[in-house]
Amino acid sequence: MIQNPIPWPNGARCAVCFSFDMDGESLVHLGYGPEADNRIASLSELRYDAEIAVPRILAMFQRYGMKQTFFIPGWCIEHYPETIDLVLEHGHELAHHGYLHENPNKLSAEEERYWLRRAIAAIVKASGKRPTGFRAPSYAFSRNTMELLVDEGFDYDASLFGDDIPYLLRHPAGTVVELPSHRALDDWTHFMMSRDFNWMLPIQAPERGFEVYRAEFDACWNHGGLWIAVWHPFVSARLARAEAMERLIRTMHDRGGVWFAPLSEIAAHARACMAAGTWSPRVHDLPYPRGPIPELSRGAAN
Amino acid sequence: MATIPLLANPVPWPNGARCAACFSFDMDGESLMHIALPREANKRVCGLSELRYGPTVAVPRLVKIFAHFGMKQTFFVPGWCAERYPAAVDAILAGGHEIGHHGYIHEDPYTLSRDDERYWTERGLVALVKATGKKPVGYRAPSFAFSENTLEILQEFGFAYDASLMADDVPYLIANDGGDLVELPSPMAMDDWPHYMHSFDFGTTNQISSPARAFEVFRSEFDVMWQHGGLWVAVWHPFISGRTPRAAAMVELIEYMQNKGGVWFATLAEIAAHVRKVTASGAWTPRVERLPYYDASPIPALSRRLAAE
Repeated sequence: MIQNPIPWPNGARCAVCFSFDMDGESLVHLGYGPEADNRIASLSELRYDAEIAVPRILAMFQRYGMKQTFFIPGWCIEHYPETIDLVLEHGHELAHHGYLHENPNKLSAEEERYWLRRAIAAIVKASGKRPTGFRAPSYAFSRNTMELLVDEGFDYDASLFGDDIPYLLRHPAGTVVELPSHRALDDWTHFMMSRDFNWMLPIQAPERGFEVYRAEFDACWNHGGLWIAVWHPFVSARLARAEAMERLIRTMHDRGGVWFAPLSEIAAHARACMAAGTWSPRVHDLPYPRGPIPELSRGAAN
Repeated sequence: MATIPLLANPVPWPNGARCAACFSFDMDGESLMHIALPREANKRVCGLSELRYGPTVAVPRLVKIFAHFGMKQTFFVPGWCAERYPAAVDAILAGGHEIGHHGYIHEDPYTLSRDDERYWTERGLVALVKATGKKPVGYRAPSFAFSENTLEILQEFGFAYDASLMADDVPYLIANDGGDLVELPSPMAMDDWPHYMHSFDFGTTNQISSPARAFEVFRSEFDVMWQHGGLWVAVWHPFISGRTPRAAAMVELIEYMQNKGGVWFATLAEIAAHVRKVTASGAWTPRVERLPYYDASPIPALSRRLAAE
């Protein structure tokens, strides 16, 4: 079903990364500003992220010998140094997810650059090196994001949905590897319910949510795809879901032929295949032309 | 279970088939984003990437699946998408499939004046003629938004059928003083949107079902149509149902249908032509729905209530 399948390392059938966005209380501060300190129940739900959920995930990854990717806003990196140290000690990738989960679709280019750089500085300070990967907060990759990522030397992005395998984003100034996922693999749509965020979906049983993830995995495995979970520690590492997650990890390991890797390694592999000529990605040019498309005005020339 | 016939007026399908089936796809592409957010569409790169998956990744996959099973089906394509994605249009045509009309840029007829609706319908028609070399015979209103003017506009441009309405389980005729049109109905349960679609950009935040849950709905619709002689029309979108796990489930459903046997897989144009044929021969009499349904809105019965407001 995939037209230009990528050869995964060691003949693997598919690539898998359980990537986590550790947003912490950034979501409440961004949404409520001066009122944030008054929303204590929501803050408690989000503090579960760094304090309870991440250590649990790290222990699970260690049990199965997996190195994966954590997207963490700069503010959270500054506020949870012990958690960040733990993530790095376990050998996982620390990647960029904004400074305070600010939405790039709502920012000017200048503001977006400011927050991007501020978060890079937080990552450099915590880890001693620059991030190579980016996921836009709320997937809100903007008309300016591509150029900013190239300017700041990012190697890959993981915010878009345009294919089942890696593809290449091209800009006059350079390229970025896109590692696409899909909302079906986001835990928010299955398990998140919050009055404070005005997000009132019913909460699925772990079995129902994981039925979706497993169907995505089966298809990836059958057809050579890329499976990227876009999960949140405070959502998916609560006890009942963490158990379901471990069952899924075990299923994947038992099936075999799965390449578990951090996204930075998957992007590097895509680049290596391109350089060796063993695979050609689909190429997509950004940015799009500005403004409403002319066809929207009635009477425009056919 | 007692086999009580549930359909009052089952259609005599060709070669004694038990039912007719069409996997119809609306290839909307980025038209949805441009029409919903015209001034900031180009900054919503993630939503656009999801929509571009339709014509670039999913349509070639669907064409390949249909070729494997020897099926010819129907794709509704907004004119703007036909202009932007000639390779997708060529792949659809090369597979022998039908291309139907789906507006010019997925404009919503409910929000348009009669004059504007006619303008965009004609513009969509011109684009499809240019892209395919022939006039489409079928129409599905963007967002199912068939308006009080749509029937007359479709008659003016000589369409043979519409596939936007929901008033029966078998084809029927929609008629006015100017004549009639074949209606090929399907219910909302057959649309993939309520099962899978979740988009911040469009404010659609449905929970995403697993393929197994969604296909439970699609398959139960099929089983009952097969049992009672109805019409099964999927209203799906390449960017939604053409994603790999869902496409894999679709392959399973096609195998299930073919194994069951007695299913007439056809384009909607062929189904509409069959309806005309059996009507002309007297083998079947369709139900007729006259439009407009009412002389005016609000209906007079509401006047007391409206006066009290």
